[in-house]
Amino acid sequence: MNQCASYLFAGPKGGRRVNRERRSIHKERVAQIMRRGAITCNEDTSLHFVAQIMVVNRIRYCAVVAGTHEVRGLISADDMIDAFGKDFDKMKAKEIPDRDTMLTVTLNTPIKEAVALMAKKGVEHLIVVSDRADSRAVIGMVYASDIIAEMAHRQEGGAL
Amino acid sequence: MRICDLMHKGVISCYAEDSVKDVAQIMEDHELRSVVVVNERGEVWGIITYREMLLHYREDISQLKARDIMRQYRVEVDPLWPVERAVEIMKRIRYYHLIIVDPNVGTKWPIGMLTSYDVVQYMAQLEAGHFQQMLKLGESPKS
Repeated sequence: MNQCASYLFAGPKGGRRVNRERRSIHKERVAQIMRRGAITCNEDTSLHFVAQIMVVNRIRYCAVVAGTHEVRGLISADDMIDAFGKDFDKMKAKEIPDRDTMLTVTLNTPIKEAVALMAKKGVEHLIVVSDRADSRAVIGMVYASDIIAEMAHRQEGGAL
Repeated sequence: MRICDLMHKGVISCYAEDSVKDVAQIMEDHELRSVVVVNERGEVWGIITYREMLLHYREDISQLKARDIMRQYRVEVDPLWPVERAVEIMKRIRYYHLIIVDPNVGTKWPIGMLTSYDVVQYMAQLEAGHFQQMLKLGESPKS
């Protein structure tokens, strides 16, 4: 079955966050704020089905993968707006116009850099990929909501 | 389909003098992506979304005011417009949170919000093939 949302060891909104209790973020890496797993679709999935994946899973993104793990891109709900008005039943996930939203980080990226990348590009999700040279497998996702929660719990005077 | 059938009824708002840390707290408590900034009379003044918050991630957010980081909001959207018109506005201004204001009072009171996710929900409910027909229906009042 080609058109099927696959769950990479994750439920809705990714998996549990790793090291949830660690609130201090100085010198911390993406590995400590990410959530494991991602909700994915194939390159040939129609955009109508992508919209259904988002609504059923109650998420605002869908990672595009080739095969089972190789990351090809990320479709957010904002990107779907561009397809509105076109015949998106027949459009494939790989035809989504704004493809430079595929932004990836690795487990060792500092959180500051990840946040700077998010703010610069105006996105709310980043894909965490493995840093091995031979594969770009999806490991998890960084959500902006976790970063905002981090800001809300920051100690007084906590400028970084 | 009109905007008022699809939008979120009611908005969560903050004042311009609130600190950004409070705004972050509001966002986390209510699981929101956007907070409407209102003035003393309850009129729409600006909007703060994740995008504005992330730009000020490295600063001391308990000292910053919401007024400093908010994005001024000038688009007026009527709840009785068709959804296609709202999508046109979203595409044009490249901003995916529309505040819906009450058209019947003179002041700009926010009554709801339409985001890209609501439009995706609308897209997902359509049966395959029906969309072309609905698009023609939506175009007629605009022209």
